[in-house]
Amino acid sequence: MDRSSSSLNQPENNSFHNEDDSLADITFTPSYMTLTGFGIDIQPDRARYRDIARGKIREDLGKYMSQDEIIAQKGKDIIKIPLPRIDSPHFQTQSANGEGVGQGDGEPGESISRGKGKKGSGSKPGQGKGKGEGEGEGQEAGEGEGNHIYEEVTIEQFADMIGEKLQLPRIEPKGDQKISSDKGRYTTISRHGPQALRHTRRTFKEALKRSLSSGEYDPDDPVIIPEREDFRYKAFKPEPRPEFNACIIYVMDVSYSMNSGQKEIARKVAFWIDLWLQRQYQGVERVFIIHDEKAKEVTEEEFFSINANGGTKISSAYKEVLKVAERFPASQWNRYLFQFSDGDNYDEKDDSVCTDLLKEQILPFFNQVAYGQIPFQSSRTLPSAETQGFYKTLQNSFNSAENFVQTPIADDTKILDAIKKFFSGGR
Amino acid sequence: MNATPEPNLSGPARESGSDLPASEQAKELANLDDHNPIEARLPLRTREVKAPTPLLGPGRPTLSEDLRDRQIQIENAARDHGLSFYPIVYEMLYSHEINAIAARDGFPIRYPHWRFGMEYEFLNTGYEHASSKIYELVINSDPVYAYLMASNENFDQEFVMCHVTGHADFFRNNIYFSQTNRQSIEMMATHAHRVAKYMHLYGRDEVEKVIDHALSISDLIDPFKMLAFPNGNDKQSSTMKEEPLRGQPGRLPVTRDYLESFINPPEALEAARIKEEKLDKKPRQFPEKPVRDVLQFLIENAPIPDWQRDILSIVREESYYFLPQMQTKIMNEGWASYWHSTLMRQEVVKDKNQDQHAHLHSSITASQPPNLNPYKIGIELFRDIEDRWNKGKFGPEWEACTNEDERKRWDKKVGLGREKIFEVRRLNNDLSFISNYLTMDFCERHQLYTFDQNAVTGDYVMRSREFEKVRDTLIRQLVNCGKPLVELVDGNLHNRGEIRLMHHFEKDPLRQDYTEAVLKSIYFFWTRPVCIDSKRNEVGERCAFDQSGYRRWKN
Repeated sequence: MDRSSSSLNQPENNSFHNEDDSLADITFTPSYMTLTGFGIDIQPDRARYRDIARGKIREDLGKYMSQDEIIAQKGKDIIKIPLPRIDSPHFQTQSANGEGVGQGDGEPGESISRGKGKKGSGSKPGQGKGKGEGEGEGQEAGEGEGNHIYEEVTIEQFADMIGEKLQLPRIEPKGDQKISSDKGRYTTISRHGPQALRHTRRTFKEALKRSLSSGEYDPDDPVIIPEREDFRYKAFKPEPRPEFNACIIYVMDVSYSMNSGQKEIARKVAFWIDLWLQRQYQGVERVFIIHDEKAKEVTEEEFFSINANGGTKISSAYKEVLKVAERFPASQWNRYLFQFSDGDNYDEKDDSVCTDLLKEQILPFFNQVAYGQIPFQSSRTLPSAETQGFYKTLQNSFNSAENFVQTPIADDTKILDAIKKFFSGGR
Repeated sequence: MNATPEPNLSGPARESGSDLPASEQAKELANLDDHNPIEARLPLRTREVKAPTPLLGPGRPTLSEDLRDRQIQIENAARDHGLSFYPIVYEMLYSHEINAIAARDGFPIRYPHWRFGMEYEFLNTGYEHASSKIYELVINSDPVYAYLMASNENFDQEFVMCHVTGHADFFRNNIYFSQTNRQSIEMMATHAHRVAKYMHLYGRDEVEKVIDHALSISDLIDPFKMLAFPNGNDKQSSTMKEEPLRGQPGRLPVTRDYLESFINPPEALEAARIKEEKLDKKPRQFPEKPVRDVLQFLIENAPIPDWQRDILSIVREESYYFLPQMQTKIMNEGWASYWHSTLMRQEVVKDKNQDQHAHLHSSITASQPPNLNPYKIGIELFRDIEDRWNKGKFGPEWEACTNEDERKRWDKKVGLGREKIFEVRRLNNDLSFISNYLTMDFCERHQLYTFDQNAVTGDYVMRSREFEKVRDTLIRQLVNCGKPLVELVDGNLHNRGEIRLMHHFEKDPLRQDYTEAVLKSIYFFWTRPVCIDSKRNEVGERCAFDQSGYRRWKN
């Protein structure tokens, strides 16, 4: 396909530099079009649209954070984000998208087709461009149902977008090793590089060597002109960067009062936790502990699906955490604890066991301990149930602890806030 | 020659120019145009008419000899039936190109804007998922440009050509298109160049922002303007009327002194003077009458730099260009479908292609619940009209007859069907098409129903099969293309240069988020507060946008 230089973007044509601003009388004949080849390239328009759509996604990030479509891509290196269709606003009546006239069988009251809960595309014969464009298979022009376009980002880019949006500070990992920078001095020579890093002396030395060995060199007229193979550039050897590793211990309350809806929320939050921490650390190990009255280490799938139906003894979980943590000594691992519960602990005695365990044995040795309370949703749920119970207990004890974070997660829409809270400490 | 030709029962109705007034016919003959039946019969390439310049430049795939012959045959057959159209030029495109052209509404060049990029992206997915193959793309211009997909088989191409020919006739003959700018390719190109120039001078982001604002108000035009003032002689201009010459109200110019008392009799001058005095006393309304063409109002009165004024006029010009297409979607598609069906049957379809034709035709006119397929209802309605006018199922006798059986058997063999549909396609838009020709009979036969959407689940639910409800729902969607009627009623509200718009409330309140955005856009140009009066829950409501943002209150 011939790519004509888009003469609109570089207006070298004489007509643009007219002093006279009024272009109203310029007429363009079809032959003008043939000079520029196939119209004007549509690539810039596409790129511009993608830019804007990405911006919109960043704006509405909270909405995207709870979307299954994103979360289902867990573990992939490339994430596909559906780009929204951006409509131009116009004066419009509120039920403009609901009603219409259809054709076919059925009885009044029957459901005709499953909507997707979004704006419907009822019969609007008077709207749309009606440009004489036809689309086969009887679809209404321009309204392909279920058509999505995707923007592909790497997992790192995606995590960065989240981090930027939520303004999460980068985590400064703890560790014995000092952090040394990648770029120190230019200690070696390479055959490739930017012009700014040309090593002149070496380059000419190589050129001289070459010209001598090929017999070109003339002592009476010593001219040396380096050729491409002769060029040498300053370079650096990346110094080995000490590896920082993180160990994330997830704790989930699977007692009777935690149902699948709450687990869903926990799963979504966990997706973002993983994403962010994987971005911050080279290696991330994850451990999953479930508990009711007793605690047990499990696999990831079990973690999000098991229903134990027992009572709740949170202290059992902490004990298990300590056991697991022995495998990841604090000197080499940055340890994180993320706990999800509905806050309904067995009794106050257990509460005080918990706070003791946290205070003495867990908090001092973990980068950060986080607790998210996801209340059970029912008509009998008291208002602000997310901040009662265990949440309150923790609040009373650890309000000022530096590496302890707690947040209520009332529902899907609060996931963004929870992530922000968890990581705003930069730990 | 009288306007309606005698029904010709012995052969196909010849419509070539016969329903145009004599002066028009003379002009047509002088142009050696399609209307001349003798010229029309010759293969196009031997005609003495300059071949239209190819649109997209040299070195592109061209129509094969074969297809070119088919085009000529199809067009001659069409003319035999009475269709007339500007010369049609087909451009062959590859599939990725056709999406780029379609994204630009059929034009190779449009001003740079992300919405074309967005359309392209979404069209591209459609094709990849094979859920929508653009069959025909044709624009309203002279010559008519239409695009064919290089990858389609010859049979498909013929199908498309028949369809395109129908569209071309519609564009040419329907009165709602009579004032459109047929040099549309050039028009779009000029727009593109102006916008590009402004981007060069003022920066892309700035210009894009202005275009975005202008697009929000691109539908605020006056749909009747084009036909009411064909030469742009818009006496309804909203600017302040010039002050009349003091001391000479209503005085007409006179070439000779002795004519003075005849041209300007004292009574007339006196009457004019009194009228002037009355007007002086009354506070002037600005604009004098409510204005639907808000774009024009802003172009003339908004305190904006000239280049922004030009952007508004670009958007306005394009809105007016596309308006008739939006008003005639059902008819246009129906007409094109009717003719591709007729032409394919007689011209192209040899036995072996019968299935393919049937498949293509049915796939285009298939129902897609819950949508009403505009192709289908258009063609069915035209067929219904043809049938009725052939059988005489119209007029006072027919209306008076209530006997079911008699109505079924009714056949006066009048044979006016073909002629009638030509007339219908000339004089109607979708609104009058449906209002005048949709019958209870038709609704029942085609199982039409109304539906709406469950607000919670998003499911579509059928509501009623009653004729009145079906017709009213359709009409509601067609009046003003389904948009709320908004007028600018005051350009000097509170005597502080504020704008007041009025929404002519029918049934539903305005959608809030969009209202805010549109008011914001008008405010961008007007720089003084803008408000709109409407209703919600039976109470008056005013939404306003000014320097402190958006507000809404009961009024």
